[in-house]
Amino acid sequence: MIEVKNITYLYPGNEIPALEDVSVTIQDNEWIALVGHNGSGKSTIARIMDGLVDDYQGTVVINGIELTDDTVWDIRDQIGFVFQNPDNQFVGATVQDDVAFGLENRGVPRPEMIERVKNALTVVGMSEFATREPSSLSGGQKQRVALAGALALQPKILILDEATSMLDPQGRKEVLDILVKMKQKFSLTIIMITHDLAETAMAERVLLMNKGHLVVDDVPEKLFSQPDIIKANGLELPYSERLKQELIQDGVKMPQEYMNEDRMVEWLWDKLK
Amino acid sequence: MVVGQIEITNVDYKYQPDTPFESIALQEINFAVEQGTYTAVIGHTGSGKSTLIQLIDGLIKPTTGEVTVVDKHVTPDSSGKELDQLRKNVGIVFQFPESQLFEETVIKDIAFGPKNFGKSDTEANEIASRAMKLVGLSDDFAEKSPFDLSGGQMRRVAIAGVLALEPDILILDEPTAGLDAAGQEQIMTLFKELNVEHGITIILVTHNMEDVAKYADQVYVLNHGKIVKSGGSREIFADQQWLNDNYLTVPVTTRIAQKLINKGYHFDEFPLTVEELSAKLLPNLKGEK
Repeated sequence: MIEVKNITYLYPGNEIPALEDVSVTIQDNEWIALVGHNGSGKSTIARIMDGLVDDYQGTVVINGIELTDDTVWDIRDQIGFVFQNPDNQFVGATVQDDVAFGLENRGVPRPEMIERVKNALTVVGMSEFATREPSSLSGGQKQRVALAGALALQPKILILDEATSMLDPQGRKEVLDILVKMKQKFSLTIIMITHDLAETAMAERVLLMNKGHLVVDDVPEKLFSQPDIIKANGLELPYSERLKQELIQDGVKMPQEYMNEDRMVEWLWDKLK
Repeated sequence: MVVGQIEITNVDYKYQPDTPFESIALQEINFAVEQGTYTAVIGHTGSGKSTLIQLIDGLIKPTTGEVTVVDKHVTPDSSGKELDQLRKNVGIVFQFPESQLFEETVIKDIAFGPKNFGKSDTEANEIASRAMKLVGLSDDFAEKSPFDLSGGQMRRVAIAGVLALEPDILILDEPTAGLDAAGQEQIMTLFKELNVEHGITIILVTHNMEDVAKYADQVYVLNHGKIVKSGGSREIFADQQWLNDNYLTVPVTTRIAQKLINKGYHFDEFPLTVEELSAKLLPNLKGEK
């Protein structure tokens, strides 16, 4: 369980807080989509959970351990963090060295390390690239390797900061399928920072941030049925809602509740046939 | 025949040719783009899109065939200098271009390119100011540090830096990755304006099919280093079966249109955008007005 209590944070030199009195509790094995426009505070809150930010007010408790200077490494052992731009986190000379890095740091015995690196690369479909230089990979391939690095640590919590943004649609689907399986198999808690609607729709719960505040904490369908809130927060409207708005504008009477794509097709066909 | 602004004729590109490590990245490429058009290049990761961009920008030369950009030609025998010539007309916005910002102020960062190409400080600053206007950054930003800006603003600065080189052709490699919906829309609108109002030729490399449907005039589909399909965007997206077979996604509009077709609905012309779909359904939505 992740307990974030009354977090306020001001970036050095800024006057407006990046986060203001944010509290949220995330249960084990939940899948969270953390959304909001650029600068809303969503990455900052995720970084605070991983002990990457100092000098904030409030407390973070991860699985009963309060985050402090003394516990930060115990807490990071439980969290895998994948950053948006994988170039910012590569350290190894080869793909396999890179995935091994976190394990080496944690003193995992060599035979086990080799096994875990191999498995993690297989899971993300990158085993044939094990001895390649990370810099020779495409953006999407790098993101897969970064994910493998996080998975190799066998974390309880996985935080993904737009970690699929450079994958092609097929690659993205593959990675999301992997995450669904990992979540079931290892009771992973997943926090996915995303601008992607399909990824938001997959989550069990959406946290919407705006100007350092948590403004919506609800299931995706509920959020999707509120186009005004979505627009006001710089998010993309789900396609079926966009079509609905377009038709309403042209004078068609449409149901208020959120309809996903298939539901929308059914509704349209019923009126068209 | 209209002579294109970019002509790639019968090009193969091999990595490490004539060695045991030889691998083919591009094969039998014929690719043409006319001045002032908007072209999308789509295909999987590893399909050869990046190699194609590098050819147009003179970063690599073809193993066989010829690359022409405006009036400059590059063949396998071309010198490094001839490759450099190709680049004069082309600006590339790479993925996450803001990671290349480095100067103390926005104006210095944008003026760096023109200065580097021999413009005086005054000239370079004037060009930089114009580029800032083009990307919608007000003068207030000029003396700010690029690192104090938001992600969307930083990306505008980086794009202004490319525009300051005054390219005729702008190549965009996933230009909206990592931006929120509002930022994505603004950046894509900006490119369309550069295309329509300033006549800049745009080549968009993307996985975002909604953007392809909305903005591009023509589409090239790459797979395993070959161009497997090309044509107008309506034509490309109408062939949904082919796209599915090639593991390419389609814009949601065409997917919904296809689902309605499967149920028995008929479109006289295949819709590409939400506005088109709505307009085509409207007359037949019974009793809902």
